[in-house]
Amino acid sequence: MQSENARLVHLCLGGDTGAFGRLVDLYQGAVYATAYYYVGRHGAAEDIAQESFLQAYKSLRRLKDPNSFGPWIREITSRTAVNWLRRNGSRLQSEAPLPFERTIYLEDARQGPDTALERVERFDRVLKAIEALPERYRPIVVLRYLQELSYKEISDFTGESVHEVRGILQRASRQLRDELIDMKNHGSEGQSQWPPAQK
Amino acid sequence: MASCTKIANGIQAYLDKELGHSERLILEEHIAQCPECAEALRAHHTASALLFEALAPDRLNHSLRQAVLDQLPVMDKPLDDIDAINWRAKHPHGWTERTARLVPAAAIVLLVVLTIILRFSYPEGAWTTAVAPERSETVGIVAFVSGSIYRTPGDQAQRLTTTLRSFVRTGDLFETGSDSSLMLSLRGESTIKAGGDTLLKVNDNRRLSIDAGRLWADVGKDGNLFKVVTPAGLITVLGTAFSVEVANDLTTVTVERGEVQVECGEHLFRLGVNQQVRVYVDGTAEGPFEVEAVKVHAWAHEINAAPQIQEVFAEAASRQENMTELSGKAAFVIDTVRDGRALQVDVIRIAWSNEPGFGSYCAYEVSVSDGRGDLVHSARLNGAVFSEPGITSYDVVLKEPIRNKRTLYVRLIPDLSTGDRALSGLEVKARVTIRP
Repeated sequence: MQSENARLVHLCLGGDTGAFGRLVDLYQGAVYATAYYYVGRHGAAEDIAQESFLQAYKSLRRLKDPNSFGPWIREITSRTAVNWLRRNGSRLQSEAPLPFERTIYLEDARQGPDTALERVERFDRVLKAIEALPERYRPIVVLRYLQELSYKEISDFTGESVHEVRGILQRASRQLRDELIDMKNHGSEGQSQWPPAQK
Repeated sequence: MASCTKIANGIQAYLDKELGHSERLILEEHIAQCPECAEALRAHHTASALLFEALAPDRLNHSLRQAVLDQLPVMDKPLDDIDAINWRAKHPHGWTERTARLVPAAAIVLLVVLTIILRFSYPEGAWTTAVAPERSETVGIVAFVSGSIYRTPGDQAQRLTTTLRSFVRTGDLFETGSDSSLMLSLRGESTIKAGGDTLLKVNDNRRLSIDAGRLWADVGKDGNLFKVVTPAGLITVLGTAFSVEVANDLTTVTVERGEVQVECGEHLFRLGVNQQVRVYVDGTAEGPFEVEAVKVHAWAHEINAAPQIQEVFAEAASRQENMTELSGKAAFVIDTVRDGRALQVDVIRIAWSNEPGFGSYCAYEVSVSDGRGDLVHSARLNGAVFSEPGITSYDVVLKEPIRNKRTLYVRLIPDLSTGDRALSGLEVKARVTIRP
């Protein structure tokens, strides 16, 4: 993968835009998921992903080690996303701002208010569970669960070893399981773990 | 049968289809016989499914390729830098074929003549190699020692005895003898105390590793996380006082103030004041327990810094920073003294390693000064010199040989306005004349 990256970067520098298209194919999932991790909106994340690829292309000559294309474009994506948040006046409290409010999409609403509300509620609780994770785990969890990236793909994009990615996802999943499992019982099996409301 | 802990550490990778064949078989065999692990697997599966399901509506399901390619500008051609043009102008390759054929023969003749001349002009020539600058950085000072304490610098294999007020550098490994104790003051207002029989490595002022023994740390807040690597896992800290004790397979972490995060196997603990966990190298853990941290740390509170140690360090550090600024990264020291006499230097050779990469090399300013800092020679090396294939050294011939200078400082200062690539593997040698 790494020598393939170096080859593609070399071709791009020679003006081969097809080679850059191949890099987009390889990294679009990771770049999009990273943008989403910052802004939490599908449309905005897609814009940021495109903008990040353009920035990468323009500054490709400054990439010192073509084998590190993954961590390098990850850095560009984070910077682009942070700038987007600044421009759009969104609050940016720390380096790890997961998105926190969610409106009901039209297609959700068409399925009836109950389904839509359930979906929004489920989404909010999943995000809260991710938010409760240590900061270092969150982007990796989003890469895995939003885009279903393999450990190797995550490792290639983040620069962490595959072994470390596996460890992080194992520890994160244990915490996520503890946070989420009651909700599943509550949601799909109808066995509420919540005490009945008192009058 | 594999232990439940080992199985628990592989559950998520199993669900994610990231386990190797044999690991998968072991896990499946275990799950078939162990109802608890089977239940854990089901719970992980349910949680994973929920995560995928909740995030699915926002997944990127189409390719961005065309949208990106439609916006790409034309890739800039690399600019031919002026230095390269000048270099080529001065070294034209307008050889005729006939002249070119004579080159090998002429080179041999020239080489023989030069060898003869050099042999007689320089009865005993030798190259003396410059000492490369140290790469490690000073990050603290030894604030207290008692008993026998040894330090092995990161770039040497030699074990040295540590004394009070000696500097702590990145990569230093400290070993304390039985009944010995040590205190380090690190940059960022962190204090580290180590008990007897301790092996402690200072990776930098915010990262330590401990392989045996015990340490107590009071970590100053500087916005960066403080990390301690132990045989059983990673401890992450942000402004706090805590201790780590490593005894064989067991690592014990106790918090006295603030909050500490401990990662070990599949466990993740966040410890508060007066809490303790015990983690083992096989990934198992016990705790958190409530303890009286001050009592647990009684040994550490008996260690106190020598007076005014912070002031000594602050002053020394500022002196060193100034020095670093002056000497730069590529400063080389040449010792010209042999048998008590300073030898005459007439050529300074700059050598580098030619590594594959992109971009054009920048020009370098070479300055040679004597032990008092007075400039004795300066030159500018064109960036294009370094791009010539097969060439990995350049001789700076001095107009006047340098005599009677016991020490020479050679500085190589990159001029980054002329190129975006710096040299790697730099070496500096001086050609000296040894007169009988």
